[in-house]
Formats: sequence, C-alpha cells, structure tokens
Amino acid sequence: MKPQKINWAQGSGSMIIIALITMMTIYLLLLYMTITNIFYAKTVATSRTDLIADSVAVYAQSYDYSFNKSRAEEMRGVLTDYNNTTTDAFTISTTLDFPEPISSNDSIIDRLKISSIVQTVFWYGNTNNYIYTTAESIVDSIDIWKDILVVPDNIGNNEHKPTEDPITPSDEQEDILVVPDKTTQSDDTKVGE
Amino acid sequence: MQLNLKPLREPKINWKRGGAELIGIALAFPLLCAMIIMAVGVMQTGITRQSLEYANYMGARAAVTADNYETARTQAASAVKMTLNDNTFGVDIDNVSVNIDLVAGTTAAGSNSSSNGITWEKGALAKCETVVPYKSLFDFQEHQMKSTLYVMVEKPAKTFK
Repeated sequence: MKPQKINWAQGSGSMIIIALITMMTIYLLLLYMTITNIFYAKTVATSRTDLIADSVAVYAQSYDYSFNKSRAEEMRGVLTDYNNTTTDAFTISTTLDFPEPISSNDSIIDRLKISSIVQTVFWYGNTNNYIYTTAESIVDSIDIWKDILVVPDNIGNNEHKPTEDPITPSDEQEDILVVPDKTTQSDDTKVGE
Repeated sequence: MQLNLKPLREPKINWKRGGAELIGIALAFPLLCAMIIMAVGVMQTGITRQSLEYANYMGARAAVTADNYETARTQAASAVKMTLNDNTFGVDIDNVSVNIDLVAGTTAAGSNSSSNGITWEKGALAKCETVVPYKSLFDFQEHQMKSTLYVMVEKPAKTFK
C-alpha cells in the first residue's frame, strides 16, 4: 500500500485566517492591558486624592468655617508619604492649595484643594515610559459647632459651645506620629524625570 | 428557447477533498480557544484590580467614621465585601481579608485601641489593607491581589469638659 500524499497547499486558508485572528487577538489584548493600566492609575488617583483631601480637611478644620493651613499641610505630607510606601506600582505626589473663600449665609467659607499626580509604568516592567494621571478634590470648610453639633429644636440642647480649652494629652500618652522611612514624593518632586 | 428540464441530481460530496482544511482547523482551534480564554483572564485581572482599589477605598471611608476600633473593622469588612460582590467575578468573597491597623497616633490605656496600643481617635493614621483571593482564568490557578492605603481617623474627636 502506497503512503497517501498530503497536499499541504490545501487547507492553508483556514490556517492563515486563524493566524490572523490570533495576531489580532494578541494586539487587542495588549491594547486592553494598556487601557486597564490607565484606568487603574485613574482609580488610584481619584481614590487617594479624595481620601487625602477628606483627612486633611478634617484634621485642619477650625472654628468659623476656617482651616488651619499649617495643620493641613502637615497632614497632606504625612498621608502622601505613607501612601507612597504601599506599593511600587504607582507613585503619588500631591499639592495643597487654598482657593478663594466663598461666602454663604453671611459667612466666609475657606476651601482647600488637593491636586495629585499618579505615576505608573506604561507597560509592565518598562521603567522608561510612564503614565501620568491627575485628580483634584476640593473640600469646603464647615463650622464645627454650628454645622455638626446642632441638634434639632424638638430635641433641644442646640447651644453647644466650647466652654474650656480642649483636653491636652495627658502625661502617660505618648505621641508616636511617625513619618515612614520611604519618603518618595513631596510637593516639589517632578515625577517622571 | 429550450428549457433544460432534466431532473437535478444530488451533488456528490467528495469527503476526501478539504480534509486538509479540517486538519488545519483542528490544529488551530485549541490555539484560538486558548487566546479567547486568555483574553477573558486578562479582563478578569484588570477588572478585579480596579474593583479592589475601589472596594478598599470604600472600606477605608466606612472605617474612619466609626466611633471605635472594633466597629471600624466591622464596617470596613462589610463595605469591602459588598463592593467586591457587585463588581467582580471569580472572587471568593468569603475569603476576602480586610485588615485595619493603626500605625500612628497616641497610645493610651483603654479598650478603644488597636493591637499595638494606639488609640482609635481623630488624628490617628489607619492602614487599610484588603487581600482578595481569586481564581484566574489565565492559568486556572488561585492568585491573591492586595491593596493598601493610609487614611486619617475622623472620629471620635477630643471633647471639651
């Protein structure tokens, strides 16, 4: 019995088409991974910016719709440094601004704005190209006595006023606010250079 | 004009022809399937990564407004799992681990403290960490994905006597 001859020329059409589909799929996958990376950077930027802005505002909140600016700057720096120690996948740098106060109900309301830039690698393992994503968050000041502690009239007791100085930390309390070792970014750092 | 009224004969199919086409498809089909599975696996990883960041953010937000450490842990875990449940696939929600630790603040004797003795109060720094185990469609193995962020505790503030 003679061995059957195979005509390899036949059937090459489907091979070529499938090879094309495979290459197209690989290309789309690479594209998708890059887009995913951009979305990831955006998610990190918005979430971290929002959290830092909220924390800074709460920490720096003073009376009469005003912010304590030095406290705000202190907390911004601490939180930015800490959040940069979590992973090598991104680096975040933040800046703090105080936009023009707004007036509402005969009160001048302070505002603070946290702007952030998140830097991630464009492609996994490639440390030469970066993606930069920006985000901003603005927080208005409140009057911590009028706006938070006011209780409805039917309950009564809506005259909360500070009567004495706040409690100072007692002797046995130990202040251990520590800045982490890895301080990778600050205000003046220009990412990607 | 003369019409051809011959009855149509059924065409004969020569099964031997085109056999190479079948062989070609048979060889390439597994590759194509692998590519599709890989694409879904990459999508799964991307979606899980973004959802994890968002879920951890939601957990942190829920935690910092709690009045004490234990409530913060409970609220964070609930928020993270609820968010992940809505936004991911292939994630075993029951095995998701959510950890809240205080890393900076003041230490004082009391029940409202974390394991390292730092008091849960406004101004303390909390570390929120979520670890998500998921079965990847990429290699059918179980992997873990982690997200960590730091945020300031907002309550309770120091009170006036």
